[in-house]
Amino acid sequence: MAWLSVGVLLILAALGIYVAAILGILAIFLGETFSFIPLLPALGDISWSASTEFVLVAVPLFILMGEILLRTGIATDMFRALDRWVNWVPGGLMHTNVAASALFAATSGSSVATAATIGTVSIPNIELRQYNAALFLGSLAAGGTLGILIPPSINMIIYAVLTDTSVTDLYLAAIIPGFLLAAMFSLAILGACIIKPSLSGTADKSTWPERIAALKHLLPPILLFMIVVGSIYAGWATPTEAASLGVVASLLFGVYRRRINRTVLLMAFEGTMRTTAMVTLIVVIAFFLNFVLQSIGVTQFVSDFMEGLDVNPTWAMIAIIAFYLVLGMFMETLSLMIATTPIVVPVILALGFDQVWFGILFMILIEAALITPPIGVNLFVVQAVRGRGPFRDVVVGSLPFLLMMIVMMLLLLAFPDMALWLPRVFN
Amino acid sequence: MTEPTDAPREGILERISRFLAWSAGGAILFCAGLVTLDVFARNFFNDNLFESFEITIYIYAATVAFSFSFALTTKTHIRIDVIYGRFPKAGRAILDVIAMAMLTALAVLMAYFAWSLTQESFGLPGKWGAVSASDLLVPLVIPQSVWSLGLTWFALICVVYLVRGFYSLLRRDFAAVTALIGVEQREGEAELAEALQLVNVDGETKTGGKV
Repeated sequence: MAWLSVGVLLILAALGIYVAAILGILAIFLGETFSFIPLLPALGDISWSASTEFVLVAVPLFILMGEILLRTGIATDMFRALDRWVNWVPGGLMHTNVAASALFAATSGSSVATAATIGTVSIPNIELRQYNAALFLGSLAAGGTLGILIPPSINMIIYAVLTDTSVTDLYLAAIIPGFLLAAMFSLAILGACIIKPSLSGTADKSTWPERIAALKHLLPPILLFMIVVGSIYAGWATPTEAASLGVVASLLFGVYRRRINRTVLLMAFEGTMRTTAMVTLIVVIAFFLNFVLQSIGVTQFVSDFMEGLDVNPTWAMIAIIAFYLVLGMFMETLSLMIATTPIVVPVILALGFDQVWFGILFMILIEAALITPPIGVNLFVVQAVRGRGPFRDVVVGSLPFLLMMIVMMLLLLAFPDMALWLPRVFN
Repeated sequence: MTEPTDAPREGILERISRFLAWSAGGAILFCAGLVTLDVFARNFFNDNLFESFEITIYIYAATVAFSFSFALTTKTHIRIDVIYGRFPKAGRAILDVIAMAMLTALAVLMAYFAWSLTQESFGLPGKWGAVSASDLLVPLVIPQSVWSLGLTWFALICVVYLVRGFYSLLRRDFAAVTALIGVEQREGEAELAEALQLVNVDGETKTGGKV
């Protein structure tokens, strides 16, 4: 019965039914079938409390901040400035791709936007400087995914709200794995280029005066990172408040650069509200589904069942990772995350894992889902920016980075303190 | 029908939805300003001067409710096209209408229960019914009405789109159905188009060559 309904749902999803509608109908169906009291009237109450959740307000704020950074050219300037500093390393511009993605991720939070922006500036250089196309494109697609791991991540806010976890703890826990993963991406590029120097392009050596001059373009993103993430860590602001500070600061940068006008603002508003509405509809419905699952005892059943199984937690976790890697090949990542959280989190808690720790691992799984074919949004975006050549290049080029993500997850499994040490120190 | 069926129409409903999204974005920017002032007030004067917390959550609820329709008219609400994409045009058009019908059902239910919650708040003791548990003592009926109105607008657009889509389906104008409520080309393409446009606005990058 359970498997049948999961099957029906997956088919409905693959047939292109709106994900929010599927979750809603599932919730209503379960409530009507298995509950003694009618649960549907709670839809109004639950939608209202989800829509007035202060933590969730951080979502439109961070998106708006990213929109402003993109539309005022701050992101592209940052890319060029970074290149001056890292282009001497074997692999040159590919490290810039990763570093710029990491830095931009640290101020934006949208992986698609990151990959699109950095890609647009970077891709013409494949031919210009004779880079190996596959590895270059892979570094862009994978680098872009860092946005959901390195704070301030929007996905982490949603995970936090759905599982009642502290966003601050998650942001603290993500710092070490996030930057370590970026470093591992760079290491993969370096290793590949040392073994096979033809992968790397012709270097364009920068002079020191050029580097010094470029520093001023790195200042805005670094300042923003310090304002947004720093104020959270220092305890001056909650994540939503920090996001507000970030919006105001990026607006000021834009005004300083004389890039803020009516069109820029309206475009930024449009982009912000479109994404926010899309995310919030699913989140609100997921809250209702969560409520139904708890009311009819599914949540309790799942955790009792897991506790009764007496499996080795490590192997169970590896099975969960494998499950998500496979599912992530086919499912859109946001829906994947929101739809499975209410079930998988009770499972991992029953297995004895920490929900902050799992949040970090979960983000890396989502990152992997973004670059695994056939459905990997970042692969599509990078290929679309490139505009020609076989799609296979992007897929093949992303593989080394996918491997690094898997290594990172195994590291987290072996050394949970990589994530949990910082939150413990701060609390 | 006289309109070209391949290009999405920007009719009056679409323009209103776009305008609502602009206003919503502006309201979110306003919240950012207000919250920022409160962060400074709290850290320097130890006081929440502007009650930004409460105002922000009400604005958030209202702006999002009023933006659901914009996400619909711009085909942003998530659909997965693994199998959908393999169907012929007619099959896709039928799936589009079924998907739209299910979303419409959800939207109507949300609007209905939102109003019923609003009514419940109003029915509680007190001149204006239930008030918020804060210094502002906001009668909840005010923000809840605005929010319910936004959800009603979304439900209305859903119904209109369902009827339009169904009508086109009956006329076997499959291209029109897909143009109205089909799955947008691969995700990310909208962002991509925007990113390209942005870089072109930025004079220095126009050549795209030298970084």
